[in-house]
Amino acid sequence: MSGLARDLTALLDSGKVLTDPEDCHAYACDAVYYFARRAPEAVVLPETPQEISGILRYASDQKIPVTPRGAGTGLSAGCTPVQGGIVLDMKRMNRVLEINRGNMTARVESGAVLGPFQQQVEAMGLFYPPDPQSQEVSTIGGNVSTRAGGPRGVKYGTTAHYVLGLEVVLPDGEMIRTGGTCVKQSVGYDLTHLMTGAEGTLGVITKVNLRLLPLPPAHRTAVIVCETLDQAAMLVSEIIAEGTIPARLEYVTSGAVQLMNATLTPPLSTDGEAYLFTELDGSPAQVEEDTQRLRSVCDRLEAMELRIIGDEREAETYWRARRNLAPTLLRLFKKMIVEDVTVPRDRIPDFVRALQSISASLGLIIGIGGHAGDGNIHPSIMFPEINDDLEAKAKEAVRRIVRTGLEMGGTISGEHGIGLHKAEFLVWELGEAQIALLKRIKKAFDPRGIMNPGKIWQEGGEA
Amino acid sequence: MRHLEDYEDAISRCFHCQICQAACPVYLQDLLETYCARARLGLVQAVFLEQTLKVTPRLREVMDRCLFCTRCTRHCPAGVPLDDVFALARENLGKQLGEQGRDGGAWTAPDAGVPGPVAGPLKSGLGEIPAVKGPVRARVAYYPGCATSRLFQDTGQAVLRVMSENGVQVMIPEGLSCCGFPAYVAGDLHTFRRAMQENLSILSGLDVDAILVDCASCGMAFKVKAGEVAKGDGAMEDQAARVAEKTWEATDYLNHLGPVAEPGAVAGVWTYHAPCRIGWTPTAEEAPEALLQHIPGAQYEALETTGACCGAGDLFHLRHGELSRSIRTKRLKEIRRNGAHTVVTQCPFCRYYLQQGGSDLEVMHPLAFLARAYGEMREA
Repeated sequence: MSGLARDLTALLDSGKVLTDPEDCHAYACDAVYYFARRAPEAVVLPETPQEISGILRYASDQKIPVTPRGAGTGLSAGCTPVQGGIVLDMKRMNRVLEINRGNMTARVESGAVLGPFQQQVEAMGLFYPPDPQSQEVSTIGGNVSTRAGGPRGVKYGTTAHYVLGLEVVLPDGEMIRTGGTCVKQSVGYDLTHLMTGAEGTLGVITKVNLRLLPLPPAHRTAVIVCETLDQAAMLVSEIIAEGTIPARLEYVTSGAVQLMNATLTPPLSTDGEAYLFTELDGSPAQVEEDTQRLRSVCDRLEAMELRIIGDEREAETYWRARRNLAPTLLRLFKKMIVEDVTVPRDRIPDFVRALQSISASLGLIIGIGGHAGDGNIHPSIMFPEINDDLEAKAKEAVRRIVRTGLEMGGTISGEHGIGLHKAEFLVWELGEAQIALLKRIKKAFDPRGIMNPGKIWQEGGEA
Repeated sequence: MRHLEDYEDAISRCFHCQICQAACPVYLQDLLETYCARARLGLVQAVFLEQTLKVTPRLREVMDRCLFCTRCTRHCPAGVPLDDVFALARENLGKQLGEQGRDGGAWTAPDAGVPGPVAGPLKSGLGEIPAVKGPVRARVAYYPGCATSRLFQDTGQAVLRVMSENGVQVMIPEGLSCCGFPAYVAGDLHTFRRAMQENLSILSGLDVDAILVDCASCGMAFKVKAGEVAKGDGAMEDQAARVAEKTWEATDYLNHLGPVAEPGAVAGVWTYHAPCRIGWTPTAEEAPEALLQHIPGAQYEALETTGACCGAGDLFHLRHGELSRSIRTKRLKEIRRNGAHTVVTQCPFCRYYLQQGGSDLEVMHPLAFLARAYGEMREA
């Protein structure tokens, strides 16, 4: 038994400490699997904050890197143990501790899985909107740490907008509670929202207080078939400018629709160049009114087809197909690089045109399949083959996409976080002075540099 | 026969999206990522294709701790044929460790009363096939697997009875043997292929409208896996394709044909437990409700989760008792919360294992429930 394994089993049950190469291999990467793979030396499966506290105290003392991990569904190499050490698998701390109807809040352990939590909340007539597309398996702690979002961002924002308070174990083993369960809070620095999105570099989130909404009583899903991508972009701006904010408003390209058609009945026409998948929600009257408005915008802009899906079960087949789109694309391509650049929504048509020109000038396939309504349209570079030429072109395309997005007043990440995958562009958005400040904050929380080192900025997170 | 190397491209389609975590009963019980399909696939790749990790006892343990429920394959958005890869990995592992395939190779029938593979020709023991009532609407061959032949003859008799009541002429071909699926699961692909060859040569020559099975695993063997192991052998591929085209789960077939017999009343609440391996035909999961909801007096209560395993996994439960029982406990809790007394399912392993854990319940094939509604069955 290695020294590390021996020390860890002195701290907690041997069944919660894994050091076999097979287990470490399972924790070497997230969904950016082609990037920054490195197996940890140990995987630990804590069940209480006290166990985590003990591990962090030990790791601080020994200067061993610790990388907290939810379901490993991230898209930025955020939970990859790039400097080895210990992976803290949080998935056994998965209890939903309280759903408070009167206060419209919930309290969960950070390893609680998003999808089942949402079902539980909805069964009580409540609503927790954030919907990263990995929601079937992703953990709420991971969502908080990356400010994860999804299609509902357009109307309801991302995870960050629902976090009211946290329980955190700091790198020295100290436990703190930030924020609380009040919708109004004005006490000192907002550590809750500093920890939110910190990607596990400042401490380990063990519990989360979340804000809930009432569940909208009516929903209606519609698909708009558009002749061109440009028309789709114009429709997005117009629908919102007319005063309808859909609960979801997604771009899908014709190539993607061909794949999705395998699970859609009847299949969608593949004549369009772009498709908008949208959902309206609210009171029945509101949904009816928004449907009429949607019809009139589609008529005015001469959309090819507007398909209203009446049945909720049928509607779910569309959203499931949308949810599974990214992995489904690997039926056709060998690799894809998913970008997360987000622009203000009035710049969507400009951004889409810019993407088309980048794609044409480099001869690359750049898929646009994302959250059109909030400007987070996930330009994705598709690899029919893997070779050096394509890799070089893709690298150049990413630089141009990021540059263009920033010039339009956008951001390099809307919902995936920086991790390591997006770290090289951080300086373009934040500048040196801000990064220096981030590093000082990191140092104040984690003077020994043990928490998820090597992330967010490039030269190593250990300050 | 295909080799692991033939699946290199398919394996590289894994996006690491981790959606398989939601599908795997073992992962959901252990909550250890090593056991989700994505991680198992990565291990197979590292050990057998890239040779960056070695064969170890822990690897054997990881690859064995899989029910072969095939839910991951069904769930995978990228379409990675995880079950085929895992079967081949077990085969490679067995060869490297100098072992025989575990369950299938030995064909050791487990203790009396436990369903498992049977060596030699199947003796159906179902008695005489009842005469068709009314005009013959279809002619079918019935493949009663090991469990129905040896242990659960009531299922077979119900299939015969229900078909005869509905104008379906049934014949049971001579000389059939175990479909070999347990061998496939154990990574003994050679034995599986041999068993399939024998069965295909009989079944592919029949002039029938359909070939009926009453077991999800037999169905998967004929519908999907036979074609997979036949690859590279043109004649066998043809036979496999002919048989696959005609293979139906019996409940599904009757629902597709449309029942004509009027069921009598059966009082009580019933529910449907969908077997993991029924994924080879999506309509088989809808058939029990569609067919049995017309039984007067019988009240259907759907289970909350359609995708939950019973924990049996062929003989997996004999080797991983604690894990299997934990998975079963969750399922039984759900069934009891639902208030059903009768559970119908198209898998003899599910039937056996749920019944073992729930003496307060009665577990049977959907057509056995329908046969009850047609009137008393004669004794076996």
